[in-house]
Formats: sequence, structure tokens, C-alpha cells
Amino acid sequence: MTTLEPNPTPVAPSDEDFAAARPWYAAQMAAGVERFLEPRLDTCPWCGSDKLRHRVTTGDLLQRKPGTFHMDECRVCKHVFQNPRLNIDGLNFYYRDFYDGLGGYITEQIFAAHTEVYHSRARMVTPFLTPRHWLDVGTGYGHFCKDAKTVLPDTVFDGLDMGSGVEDGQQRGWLTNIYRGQLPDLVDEVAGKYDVVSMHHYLEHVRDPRAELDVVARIVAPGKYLLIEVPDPTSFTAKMYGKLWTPYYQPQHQHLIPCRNLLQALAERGFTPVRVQRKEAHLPVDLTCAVLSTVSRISPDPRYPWLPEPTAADFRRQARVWKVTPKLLKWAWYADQWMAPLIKAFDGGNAYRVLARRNV
Amino acid sequence: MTEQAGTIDPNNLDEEFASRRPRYQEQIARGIDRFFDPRRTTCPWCSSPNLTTILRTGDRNQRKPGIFKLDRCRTCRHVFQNPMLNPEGLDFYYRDFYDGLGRAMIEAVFDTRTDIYQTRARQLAPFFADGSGPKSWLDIGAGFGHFCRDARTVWPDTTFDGLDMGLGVVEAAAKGWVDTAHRGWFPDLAEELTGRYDVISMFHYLEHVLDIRTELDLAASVLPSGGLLQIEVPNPESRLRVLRGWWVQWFQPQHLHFAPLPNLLAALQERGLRPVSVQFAESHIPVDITCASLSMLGCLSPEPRLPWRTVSRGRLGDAWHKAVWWKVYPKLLPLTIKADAALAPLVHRTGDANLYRVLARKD
Repeated sequence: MTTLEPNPTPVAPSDEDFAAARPWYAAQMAAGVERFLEPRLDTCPWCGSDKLRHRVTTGDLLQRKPGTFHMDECRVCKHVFQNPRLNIDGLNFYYRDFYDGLGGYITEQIFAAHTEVYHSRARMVTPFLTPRHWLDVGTGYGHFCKDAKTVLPDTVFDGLDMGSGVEDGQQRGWLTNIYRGQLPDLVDEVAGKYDVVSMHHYLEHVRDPRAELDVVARIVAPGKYLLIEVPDPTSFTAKMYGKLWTPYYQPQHQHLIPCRNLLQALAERGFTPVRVQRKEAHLPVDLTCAVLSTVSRISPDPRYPWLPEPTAADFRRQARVWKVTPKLLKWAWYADQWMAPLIKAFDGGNAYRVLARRNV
Repeated sequence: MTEQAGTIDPNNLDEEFASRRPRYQEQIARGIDRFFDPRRTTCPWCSSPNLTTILRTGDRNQRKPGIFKLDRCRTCRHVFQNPMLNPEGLDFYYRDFYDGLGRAMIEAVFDTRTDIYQTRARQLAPFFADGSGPKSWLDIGAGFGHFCRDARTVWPDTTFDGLDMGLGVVEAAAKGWVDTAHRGWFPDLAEELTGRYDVISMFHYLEHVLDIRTELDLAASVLPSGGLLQIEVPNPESRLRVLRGWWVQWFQPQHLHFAPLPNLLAALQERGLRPVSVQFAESHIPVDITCASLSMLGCLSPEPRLPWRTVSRGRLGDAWHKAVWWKVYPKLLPLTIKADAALAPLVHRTGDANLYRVLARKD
């Protein structure tokens, strides 16, 4: 998934880096992006019902790569999912240069801005145990682990991710042990070793959340804990923002699982949910991300190697748009912070967190 | 739930009532709190602690003493009896309902529902388009075998076996309504039944069991791949629940768990049982108002001879009972039946059927 070597200190990619990526994208896109999609499902992958309702149709909201994506909602169990979903080639295409490579620099800045949320995740477990070994699955660069150490200074944090970010995280001293790859392939290495296994904004990315939970049930030993945070598709904020709602996060998010469904799936696998948090898990970024997404739609970075060769006019337009964008972003950010208490009081928020103990 | 013989002498009802009195009175005198498990603080379906009590009612079927509460989980909307009856309690409250004193009435009710049984059997028609039907069918919770009796007219080439813990299923085998009777608990018999049936049906069965998921696990293991599981249970999301304690589907104290459709579908999917057909309107049985008024009359004027009654009304009570059941009831019944029939189309449109039916295929 990566094109660049691990970089311990974040460095913005140069124009040459962008240009160098162009041939690969050109070859991929020449073969057509429709091939990245699997056949459309006419039943809900969660409950099997055929009562599906179309929820949103979007382009790539994150990077403006070519392609159109649909999300459907099951009218029976309220599960929301990408339909048709991306195949493996498609995921490779759309994830490339987002968390690492050309996009790593930007993504990291966003990760670094969530210290408060990371602290609150760590605090969720403290009434139940003081963990000695913690594995963060889908850790990215390990920003959560870095900040969680403030709350849990004696805990050893290990990270698992498929991107090169984990290697950066280890070099920066945020992660003690790292595992690079897919969770199902690493079961034997991590099973039974951890007091807490966390999956923050991870399950919505996987192709089959139930299979992933089956795997994690083999990893978490009886009496130990599993912490999950995912977006809440039943949140009122989804209605406020329409397709610009951040958690749709197309094309990356495959499944948005309502809390009641996740709790049932955990109960099926021998986990007892001991704590559910809604307000605390709210990420006050919806308006900011909606602005960012709109800006990138009007004027995406002309250097993006999946866009046509940039012209001077593209750069001029970008310069004009970015004259006002920083101000807009700042206001949006303040508005998000200001609205957060209201949203929390009224609705609970755009995400939720479950702490579950494996039954003895 | 009991071993006692299923039949009573209809010519000597006074004697039948009186002979049961000492045992009931002795059990009641020992206290009925012992019939309940400790109260749960978390949902048995999803473990959430977010519970709310939605109903507090007495035994509206038989007027046996006791108060029953139904809790709903605010998170997953599962409804369950809380505190729940333990096996001793279930034995006490089931006695003389499907057997003994209650048997004649319940059999008369089951006997007239031919159309319903055939509708259930026909849900499988799209999956046997050539008309051949399944080879072998096991009905779990077969009762007296009425479903098997009537489903035969829909699928004449199918072998219908019945499983039930009551004696009724054995008698049904003697009458030829079921081909083979399995008497006992499904969990005890599951192993010997594995792979023998193309279709397993559970009509109004899962709401009675202590743990729905265990039963589904077993059903999934007993079915061969490609086999079908048919389930019919009360719909706890139906707006007809405004009838509160008088709603027949709450059926306290017998019904222990009410799984809303999405929860049951997800549980089936978890076990590799892919739902292929869901019926709401087709499974609705329009009896809600009738049953509610029967319950009310039964509450207003209970049968004076009931052996679990602790107070006696004397001669005046007898006269009152006669007046209610001979004068009021015959006039009221046609009205309530009409009201139910009038309500049915509305219920069909709004998806508020009092039951739902799911057919799932094992992958």
C-alpha cells in the first residue's frame, strides 16, 4: 500500500513525489474504475432482509479519485453499507496515498488534533482495570497510543496496522511492539497477550465486520477487554449533513453498524458489554470536514496524480480558493466545537464506544 | 410441563376441580416468590443495562396468583419477563393449561385454525416450485399435532414429525396426525434428530423457551445445508401492544422472550441461516380485541371452582359468573370478532401485525 519509505518525522511530499505517482494511476484508470466494484447486493449483509433503502450516492469525498459510490440502509436492522462494495483491487486503489504515501502528511495532522478524544478513550477502561498490555488495532501512526500514555503511564502500547505508519510510530517511540498486516493473519502472534484490545474507527473499514469480531474473539482472552469505537449511522447529525456527513467517508467506509447490532454481535461471541458511551465518543469535526470536502470538490490539489495533468489555470483556481479556505475552516472548527454540547445533549453524537469483557 | 394425564372426565367437572385444589393451595401457601429467578439488571439479548419496565400484569389467562413484569431493553428493544420464572414456576403456571382442566378449551381453539396452519405451510411454496414439497418436516412445539394434520393437505408427500414435551404429540401419532412423535425437550433430542429433516418449524415456540439463541444454535446444527427453518413469534413492535396487559401476545406468564424482527434476523444470519422470506400481514391472527375482552370477562368474573382461587365468592359469586358468561359473553363475542376483522386491513397496511413469520435457509 505504500510508495514511500517510513519517515520518522512528517515531511510534506514534493511536487516530484506527486509526478512520480502518475504512471501507476494512469495505468489503473485506463482499465476503468468500474472493475473495482463487486456485484450489487439486494439483501442486507447484516440481517438478510431485502428491505433496502438507498441512503447516499457520492464521489470520492476524500481525495476526488474517480468513481461513484452508493450507501444503502437496511430498513429492518438499520445497518448502512456500501453497495456495491469495493473489491480488494478497489480498496488498494482508493486507500493508496491516503494514510501513507502522498496523503500521509495531511492525514497525520488530522490524527494529531484529537488529543481530547484519545484521552477519553483511555479513561473509559480505568474504572475496570489498569491494563499492562494494550493492543491498538488499526492504529495508524499510533497517535492514540501516544496520547493515551498520559492517562495510563504504566501501560505498554502495541500497534497493529496494514500501513507503513506503524513503523513510523515505533521509531517515534509511540508504539512498543508493532505488527504490520491484516488482523486475521496475525492471530497467533497476538492471541491472549493483551489486557485490552482496541479498535477505534476500524470496524467500519473492514469488509466483513462479523468475521473480524470472530477473529478478535480468539485474540481476547476470557476476562480481558475489547474496546470498539465506530460511527453511529442512526445519529441525527447524519440527517443534518446529508452526503457530506463525515462518517460516510466514501469510498473507505464499508459498514456503519448501529449500536444495537454491534452489542448483539458481541453477545453472540461471548462478550459482555460493560459500558457504552455516546456523548464522549462524539467527534466534533462534521462541519469542518464538510467544508474541506466541498473545497476539495471545487478545487482539488491539482498535483493529485489521478487528476488530469494540471494547467496553470488549475493552480490559479486553487490559490484563489485557498485564500478564503483557511478562514472558513477556522470558523467551521469553532462552530463544530460550539455545536458539540448541543449535539451531545440532544442526540448523543456521531459515534459510539463499547467496552466489552470476554466472558470467563 | 407435567406428567399428569392429559384428559379429564367432562361429566364430573366439579370433582376434577376439587381434586386439584389441595395441591394448588399447598403450593400457593408455601409462597410464590420462589417461582422466580433473581431480577436481571442487564438485557439477556445484548447485555445493555438500559432496561425499562413496560408492563406489570397478573396471570390474565388462568388467574393464578402472581405478578409478572416485562422489561424492554432500550438499546436493542428485546422484551423479556423480568424477573423470569424458574422451572418450578413454569411447571406451576403451565399446569392445567395445555393439559388437565385447560386442555379441552385449548384443543378446541387449535382445532379450528386450519386456514392458519395451511398458510404457514404455503410459505414454502416458492421453494418447491415443482410441487413436490419437502421430504421430511419436524414441527417443534407441535402441541396436539394440529399443524401437521392440516399441513398435509398442502404437502401430501411430506413426512410430518412432531416434537413436544407434552403428551399431546404422542396422542397425535396414535391418531395419525404426526408420523413420528418425539416427546421431550428439543435440546435433549437434538443429537438424534441431526440431518433427518429438510424443514424444521417453530410456531409460537421460541417465546416460551429460556434461551432463544441456544435453540437457534441447535436448529442450525440439526438442519442439513439447504434445509429450511420456519419461525413464527409475536411481534413486540406491533402497535396493538396498546392493549397492555390485555394483549394476547404478551401472554403472561408463559411468554418469556420477545425478539423484535431485526434481532431475530441477525441471530439467524449469525448461524448461517439466511432469511429468505419474512411475512407480517400473512401471519397476523385477528383475535386481539376478542382475546382482550375474554381476559377482561375472565378477570371480572372468574370461574368460581378454579382450584387456585384463594377467596370464595359464595352463591352470589356463582350467580354473577353465570350472568356474565351466559348473558354478556354471547352478545359481546360477535361484536369483538367484527371489530378484529375491521381492524385487520389497517394492521396489514401499517405493518403492525401481532406476529411475524420468518423462513431461513441454511447455507
